[in-house]
Amino acid sequence: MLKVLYLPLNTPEGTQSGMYDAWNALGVELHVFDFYMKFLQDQNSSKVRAEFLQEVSKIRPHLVHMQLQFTGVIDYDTLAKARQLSPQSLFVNWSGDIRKNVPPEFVSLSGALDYALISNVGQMELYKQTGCKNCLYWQIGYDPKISHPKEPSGQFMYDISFTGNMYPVDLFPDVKLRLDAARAIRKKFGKRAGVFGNGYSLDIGPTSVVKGSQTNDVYCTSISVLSISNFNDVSHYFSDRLLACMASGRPTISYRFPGSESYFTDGVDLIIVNSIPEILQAVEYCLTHPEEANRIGHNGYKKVLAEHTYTSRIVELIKMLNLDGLL
Amino acid sequence: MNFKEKVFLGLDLKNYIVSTRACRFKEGYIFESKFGKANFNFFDLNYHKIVLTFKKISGNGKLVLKLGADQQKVIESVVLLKSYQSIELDLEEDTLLEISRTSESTGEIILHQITAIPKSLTSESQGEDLNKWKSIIKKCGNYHQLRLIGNKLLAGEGSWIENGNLILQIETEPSGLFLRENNRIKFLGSCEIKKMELDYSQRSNFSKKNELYQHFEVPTPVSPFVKEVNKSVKEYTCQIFDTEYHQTFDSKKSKLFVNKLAKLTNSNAKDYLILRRGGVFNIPIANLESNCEYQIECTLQKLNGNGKIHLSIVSDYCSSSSTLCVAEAQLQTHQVQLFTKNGTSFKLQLAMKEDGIGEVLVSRILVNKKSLILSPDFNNPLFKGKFFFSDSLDDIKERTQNAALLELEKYEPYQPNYEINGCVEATYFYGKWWLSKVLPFFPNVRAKNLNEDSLKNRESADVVISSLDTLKFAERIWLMEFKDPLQAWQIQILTQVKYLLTPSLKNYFFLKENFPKMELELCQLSLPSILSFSENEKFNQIVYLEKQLHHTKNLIQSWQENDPKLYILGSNLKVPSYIQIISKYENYVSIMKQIQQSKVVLDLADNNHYDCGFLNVCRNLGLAMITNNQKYFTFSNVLPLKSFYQDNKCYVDLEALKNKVQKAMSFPIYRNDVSSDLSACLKKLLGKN
Repeated sequence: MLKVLYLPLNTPEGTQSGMYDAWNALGVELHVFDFYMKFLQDQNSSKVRAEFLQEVSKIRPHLVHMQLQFTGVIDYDTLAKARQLSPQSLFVNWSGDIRKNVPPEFVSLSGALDYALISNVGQMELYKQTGCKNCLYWQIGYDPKISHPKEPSGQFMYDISFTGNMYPVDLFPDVKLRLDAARAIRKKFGKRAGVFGNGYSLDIGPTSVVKGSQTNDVYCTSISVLSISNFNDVSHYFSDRLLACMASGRPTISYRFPGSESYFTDGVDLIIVNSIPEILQAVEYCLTHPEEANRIGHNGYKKVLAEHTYTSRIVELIKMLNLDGLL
Repeated sequence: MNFKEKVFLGLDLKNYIVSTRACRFKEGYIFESKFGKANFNFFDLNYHKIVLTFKKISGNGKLVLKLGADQQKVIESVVLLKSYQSIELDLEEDTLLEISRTSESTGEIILHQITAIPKSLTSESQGEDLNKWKSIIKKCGNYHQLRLIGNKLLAGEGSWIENGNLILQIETEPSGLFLRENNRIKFLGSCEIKKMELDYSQRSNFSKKNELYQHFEVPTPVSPFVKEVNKSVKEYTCQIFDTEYHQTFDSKKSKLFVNKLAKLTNSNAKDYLILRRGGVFNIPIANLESNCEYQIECTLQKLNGNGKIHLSIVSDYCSSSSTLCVAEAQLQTHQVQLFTKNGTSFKLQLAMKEDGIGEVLVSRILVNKKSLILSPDFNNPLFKGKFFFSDSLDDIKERTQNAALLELEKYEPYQPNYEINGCVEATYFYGKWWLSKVLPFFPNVRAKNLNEDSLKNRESADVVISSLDTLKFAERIWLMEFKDPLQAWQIQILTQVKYLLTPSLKNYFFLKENFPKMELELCQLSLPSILSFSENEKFNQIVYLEKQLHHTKNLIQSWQENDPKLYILGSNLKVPSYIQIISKYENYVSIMKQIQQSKVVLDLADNNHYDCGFLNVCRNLGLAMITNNQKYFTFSNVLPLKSFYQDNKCYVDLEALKNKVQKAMSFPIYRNDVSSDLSACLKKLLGKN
């Protein structure tokens, strides 16, 4: 049986239970080492590292799958020691984050890993040039228990919804684009445009913050949903927002990104737009063509349910790492 | 300016011949004794030096070389040996050369080739200075029986200089008393070396003093930043490793090792490696593969101390498994198992670490690939199939699709067949898609890896439905029609398959010829016919199932707005408004309705002879067919399309296709009775017929 030691990035705001379910669905022997919550509890990284090494030594997993983020809790030396304790284990670290530059913390760990996984293709060369030679692409997934269609209890509350925080304009390339999009849908659709997240200026109008399953509720009560990320020019990069939008079963209007045709079909699973005026036109289309809108929403839901859940991602990962023979 | 050597041999020599006498051509110019003569003109050669390579056939080998229009430069020489011998000439401004036999010559000689050599960049080889002679010789590496007396560099019979390829030009007195053999310059008799010119364009190959490991790289430490890897990880092809790798030690290399902690030594005419604490010795082994298990046999002896050394396999990315060996006081062979992980440029590393004390002697290393990898153990976790590390967009899409989890279709009403039972697995998307449509009719047939419910199914599949790209070991395989040539890893898998079912007659004959032990059977994947033929509900529309992307792209490009409405099933491509994509995730009834309403089915595929369940359903619903699939050419209501192959891809004449579309739209509509017995199909797949 495949033995997996999983180091999730759990925080007080949320646990990666969807990933636990996905691993368990495969019938692996799953061990979870909650490195970050242990650290938050004791504020003692040495202790966490020692415990981690004990776990590795005790379990001798086939795969150590980690999302260490940039916490610094588990460092390079610890991973190197872990490898010596369990030489037959595969060590991989994944990051779903994207930044303008390659995080040095991520690169520094990569030397002690078998593979460093990133969630886009466009920055692969950048990572390799910065020293992360064993970099591979493994896309983000979503939890179908959290994101799924729901019948609206009454009328739809929104014509269009967008959830996303606003950041300083120079932090990410498309912050301004998102701000302009939020402004445009509010201007056109008024209160029927749901805008959710932190950091919006007052001119946008009233906004609120939603978390976890509340996001799904918002999407399910919207005729259409909008997905724009902060990086729309990186090949194969999209955030889990896109998947959550599509999983709701509502027609998703997605700002274009390179590589979208690897996974999705414009006009069939989702609606790809290239500018803010096109966003508004797409919303109008969904309002005036409800059957077609529902069809697109339904197709999108079926596609992400089949191909983009955490479980599908793990099936893909196991295959990539040639561990399927151990299942 | 020419910077590369140019070699003329055989018929190339004729390009520079002006005239000959008593000289015939056979693989070179053969000069008869006394009268043999040939004149060459190197007018357009643009090189400063040439090397004439002769061989003596018989006699005394005497000849004369005359350079220049007035033949002012005369060189008398002797071709001594029946092996190749070179004479170098500095052409300078001269382009005319006469080669002739002297009056006292006997026998025959052959001019085999002429090599034109570019002028070297710089020259330190004006060798009258003692230090310069030393510097030149040192750059060549090893040498034998050369003497420096005064300012003269002398050689004798049997003297040699290594790395002769680094020496552009060499002149001896008497002239020509050397030959180039096996990358050495060998001297044929006592002579003074008058001139030796090095090729400074190859300075990187000059022998260097104080190099730590000339033949082996410095051990790779595990460091935060991995050193540059020249090749990216590409698609891996599994290769069968038949031979052992056998390493003994050559103490002649010992002078290259300054490291006292790991050194080579010779004792009783045998060479050994001696390791001390802190010593590391790496052996690069090109044949080592990722994710494999190797058996290492290591013959060791403890000279003193505790005899502890560590063996491991390291790669460019990081160190791999490490095993402790404890040597005894006498020579003993130890066997250890080591695993390789994902990586490249593997090296076997022997090291005495902090836990080691004293000295250990290593006399022999033998590396064997474990036979486990080669045996047909289908559940072997270490077996490698296709390496899914390609980042090409097509591979990314395929990878994700093939990992899809599909729920079973819900039909109402349906008549289940409880008699057929077994276990079936599909490794690629459309195999899974087919299972999701068909298995609802067979409740006792269990799926593997089709949806979340079936992920924990650990029973062996009775049959694996596979494409060429997603092949995995199984005794019984249904293989999707293919066109591409087989790769090594696919051949290895297919060699182990006992029963193979294929929908393609072409593939059937190909596999029969190449895998004679395999039992083959033709079998198509039938689709459920859940709707009936209906003549009245036909529209002017065409349906097309995407099989290969390039066909779809060409079709979309050629399709015009005034052409009939085209429905493409299962593509991700962006299409104009007069073409519609049907999602492959549409429920089956909707897809069938769309087909039912169409008049024509369009079928383009790289493999042009196979039985297709989708086409059979279309025929049952009364659609005319335009196809390049020769299996259907003789059927009624079928318009055949000719296909041609280029760059290993299949293409059709799109203009001819459009003409046929117009024709097909006016065909009469009637139902065809094509057998699509699901039960028979599944029985055949499972081997229950």
